[in-house]
Amino acid sequence: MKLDELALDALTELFNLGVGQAASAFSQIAGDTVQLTVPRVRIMTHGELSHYLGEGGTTAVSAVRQRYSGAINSEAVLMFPAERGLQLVQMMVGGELPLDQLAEMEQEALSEIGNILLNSVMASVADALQIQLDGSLPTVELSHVDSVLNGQHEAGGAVLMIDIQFEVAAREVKGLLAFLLDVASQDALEQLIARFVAGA
Amino acid sequence: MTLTDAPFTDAGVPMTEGAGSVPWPLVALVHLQAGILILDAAGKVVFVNEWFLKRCGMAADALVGHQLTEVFDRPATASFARRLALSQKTGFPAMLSHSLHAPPLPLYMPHLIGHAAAILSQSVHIIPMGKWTAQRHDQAYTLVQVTDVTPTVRRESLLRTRADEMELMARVDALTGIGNRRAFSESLDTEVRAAMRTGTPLGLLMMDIDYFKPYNDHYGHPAGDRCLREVATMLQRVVRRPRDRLARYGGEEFVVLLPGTPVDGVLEVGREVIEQMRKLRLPHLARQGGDIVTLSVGAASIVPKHIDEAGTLLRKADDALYEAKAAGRDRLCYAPTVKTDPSVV
Repeated sequence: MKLDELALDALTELFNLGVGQAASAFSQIAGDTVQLTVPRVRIMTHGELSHYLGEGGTTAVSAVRQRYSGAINSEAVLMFPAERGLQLVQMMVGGELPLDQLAEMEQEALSEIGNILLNSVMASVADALQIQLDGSLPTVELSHVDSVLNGQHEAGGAVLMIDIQFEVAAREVKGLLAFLLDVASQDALEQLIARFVAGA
Repeated sequence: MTLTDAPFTDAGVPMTEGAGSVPWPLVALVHLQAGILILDAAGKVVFVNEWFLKRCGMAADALVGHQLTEVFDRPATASFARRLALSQKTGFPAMLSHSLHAPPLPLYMPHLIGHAAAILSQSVHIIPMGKWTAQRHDQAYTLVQVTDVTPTVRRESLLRTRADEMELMARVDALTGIGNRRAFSESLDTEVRAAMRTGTPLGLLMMDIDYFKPYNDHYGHPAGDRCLREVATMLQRVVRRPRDRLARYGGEEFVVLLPGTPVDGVLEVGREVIEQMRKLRLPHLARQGGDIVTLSVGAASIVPKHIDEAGTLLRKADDALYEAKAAGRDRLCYAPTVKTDPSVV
C-alpha cells in the first residue's frame, strides 16, 4: 500500500479529529478531563507487522474488535496490555482497587470504551471521505497480540497502526489501535485519500 | 405489513395470542426475556415488548406513538440520549455499559416500580437498522436492547467482598488476632527493600514465652490459649508506631519488625516488652526461677545492603533469643555481639 507523506498527514488528521470526539465522550463519562493523544499513523504490511511486533507479539492483551464494511472493509481493534485494560476502566470510574482479573462487568465497560473510540475514528474518516460504512457491535478478546492481529489477516493485507495514550488525572495507559485492511480496501482507501487531499 | 403496525392490536397492545396476521419473528420479540424498544427516525416508540413494559410499569399505549424523551416520569439519562442521537447520525451501533453509567432507563424490579433501590443495573445496546429498514420500509428504525445485569453485578460484588475478606484472613493469626507468619514474611521483605533504598536501619525483636510447655501441661490448653492472647494484647500496647509489625511467628514465639530503628531503639522496645510482661503478673507455678509468666527476647538491627539480609536479620535475632534463654530466661539479649543487657537481668 502506497501512501505518501501528504496522504499520511491527512489520515493522521482525520484520526485525530475522531479521537478528539472520543476524548470528550470519555470526559463526560469520567467526570474529569480525559486526554487522548495520537502521534502518527503508520502503515505496515503483514510481514512488517510481525517484524515490528517481534517478541511483543506474545504480549497478553485485552482487545476490543469491531468490523466495518462498505466502501472500505476493515477489522478495527483497540488493544491494551492485559493488566492495563482494567486500569483504564478504573480510571474512567475513579476506582482505586487493583484487581488481577478482568471480571465480566469490567469487560463490558472495556467494550464500550472500544466502541466509542473506534466509532468516533471511523465516523470521522467516513464523514471526511464521504463514504457509507456499517459497523458491528464490539467483542472483547483476551489473547496475544499475534493472534488478535493475524488471526483474520489476509495475506497481502495492510495494517494501519496508531499508538494511543489515555490520560486521566495524571494516570496514563498506553494502547494500540489497528485497522486491518484487505487488498481491495487498500486500493479504495488510497483513491479516497488522494481525492480528499486533492480536494482539500 | 410495515414494522409500525406489525405486533400491535388497534389499541396499541402487543399481541401475544392469535397472532395470525403478525409475522412470527415479531411475536418472538414480544416474548423475549430482555427489553426491546424500536424507535422510528424521529425518536417515536413504534414497538415495545412485554419484558420492558413490566419493568417500567406502563401500558403499551403510553409508550407507542410517543417520543421516548417524553414518556417517562424519570426520563432516560443524558448519556443515553447523546449516544442514541450519535448512533442514529453515524449509523454505527453503540452501547452503554453498567460500570460506566448510571442506569440509563427507568426500569425496576417488576414488584417495586418507581423505588430508587429497585432500579435495574442495565447493559444497553443501540443498534441502528437503517441499512435494512430504510430500503424495505419507509424509514431508518433503531433497536434499543436492554439486558438486566443486576444479578451479575451483585454476584461480582459479593465475590469481591469475599475475596477481600479471605485476603485479610490469610494474614491474621486466628487465635490472637495479630499478624501471622505469612504477614510477617511479606512485611519483612517489603521493609528490607525499603531500608535498602533509604539506607536506614531495620530492627527486629524475637520473643518467646518462658516455660510455655510446662504452663500448658499444668494449666491445660485453653489456659495456654488465653495466655497467648494476653501476651499478644500486651505486645499490641507496647508496639505503637504505625509501621511497626507485630506477628505470631510460631507456637509461643512472637516477632516485632521495627523499621527505621537502630540498636538503641530496638533495645528500648525490648526492655519495655519484658517490663510490661512482668507487670501483667500472670501466675505460672509450673516453672523454675519464679512464679509468673515471663519472656525471653532477642534483638537485632541492621542496615541491609542486599535483599538476602532479611535472613541475616532473622538469624541474628534468633541467636540473641537463644542466648537469652541460655543465660536464664526473662531477659533481653542483642546481636551482633550477643551480649546480655545488664539493665534488665
